[in-house]
Amino acid sequence: MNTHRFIINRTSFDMFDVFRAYGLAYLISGFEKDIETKIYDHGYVFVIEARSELPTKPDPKLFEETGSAWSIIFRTFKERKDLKALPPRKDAENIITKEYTHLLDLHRKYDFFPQIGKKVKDGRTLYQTMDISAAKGFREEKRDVYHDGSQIEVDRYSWATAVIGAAWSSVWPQNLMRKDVTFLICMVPNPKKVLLISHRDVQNRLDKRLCGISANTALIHYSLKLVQLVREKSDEVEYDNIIFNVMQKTRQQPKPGGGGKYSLDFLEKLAKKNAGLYALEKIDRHLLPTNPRVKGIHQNVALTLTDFLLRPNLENLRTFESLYIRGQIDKKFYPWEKGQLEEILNHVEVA
Amino acid sequence: MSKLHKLFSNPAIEHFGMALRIAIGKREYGGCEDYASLVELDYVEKEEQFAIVLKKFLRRFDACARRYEREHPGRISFKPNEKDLDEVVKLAQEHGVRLVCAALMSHALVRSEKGEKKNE
Repeated sequence: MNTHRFIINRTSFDMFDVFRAYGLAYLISGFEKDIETKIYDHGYVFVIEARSELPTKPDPKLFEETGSAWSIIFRTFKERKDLKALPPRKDAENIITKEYTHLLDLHRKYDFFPQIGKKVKDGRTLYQTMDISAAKGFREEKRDVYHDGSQIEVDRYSWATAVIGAAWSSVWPQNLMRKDVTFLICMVPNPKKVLLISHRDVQNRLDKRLCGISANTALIHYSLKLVQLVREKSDEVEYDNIIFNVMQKTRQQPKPGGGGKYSLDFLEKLAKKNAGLYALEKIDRHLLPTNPRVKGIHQNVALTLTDFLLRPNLENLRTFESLYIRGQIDKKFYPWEKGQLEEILNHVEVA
Repeated sequence: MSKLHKLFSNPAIEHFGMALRIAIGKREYGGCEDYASLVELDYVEKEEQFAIVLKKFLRRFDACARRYEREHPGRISFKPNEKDLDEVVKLAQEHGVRLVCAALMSHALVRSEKGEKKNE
């Protein structure tokens, strides 16, 4: 059987890179034929391997509606009748359908780097929903006179590939689309070693109603759910961290609110043992409420627990314990099983 | 195994943790509602302060144990012994007060074992 190898060279845009990797894998694999496609993270590049004859055209299902992902990605695009350019979703479809073979061939080359700049010939705007650091004015110093800042453009092949990746692999928590939630968060797991079909299965099974008290609680809740699911498929799916972008809702366009990578190391260590896994289940079910309006001790415990899971050190553990014990006295929380707590303590960083 | 995990498994810490768990419990469930000790353990940082906090805690716990025994004739309440006290103080000197307190508090979060109030 033929093995085809494709390369995604990393740029400094982490989320954009991951979307390109997933996007290319989806373009190769599609949904109909389910070609065995694997993504490997080799640090400076993503390698995508496909074992089968490659299709000659993309799967049309790739351009269909994916819940609400398309509309969120192109949220800032306003359709006007007098607009000459195609709407971005149609544009991506156009580029991929017309130049499918060329797009795949470009990614076979080790020296293909995306062109990124203020003006790229026949380039497309890199939306902030595809990488927060591409947001207008994110990189520029503003003095004296206010200006929005400039947009970043990328070559059309990298852009179209990333668009597919963003549409099919980005996670936008469903319950955080409510009007009373003040932020938007987009997450994507970094594929250390991933069989695409298993990745899709994991993402489909994952309950995307997350704790929306803050962007951090949503991130932690997603990571917890992911680690629990991936444990069953550890030989087919391996993620090392979650890349996340946060945007602040405003009356106009959402503004950049930061982003980064959250390492799954601590949660994975916990999930290795049964006691740790039960502890994760307890946190997932009882300590991270999905209602963003929750107040009082439940809100405080969720926030301190999130801080602890983000940085599992002694200070954060003490803050969490101190609050939890007060809730436990008032019968708001159940006591911990000894083995579960023991497993958590085993991984606390002590200076 | 982390330092904290080692401390958590130490029998003396386990005994004091169990006492703390009983002490902060509601009266109707056989506890003493001793929240003062909880707050003191939360904020203590120095060894000398820690010794005083332990002394106060034991005095309150002793009163609570006596009340329990009076209300439940024939039953003997659990109490950490002197050896445990020496060991906890020694551990605080060795590993630091904050780490020992974290281990004690962790035991207070754990589900009580059946018949814990009685002395085995």
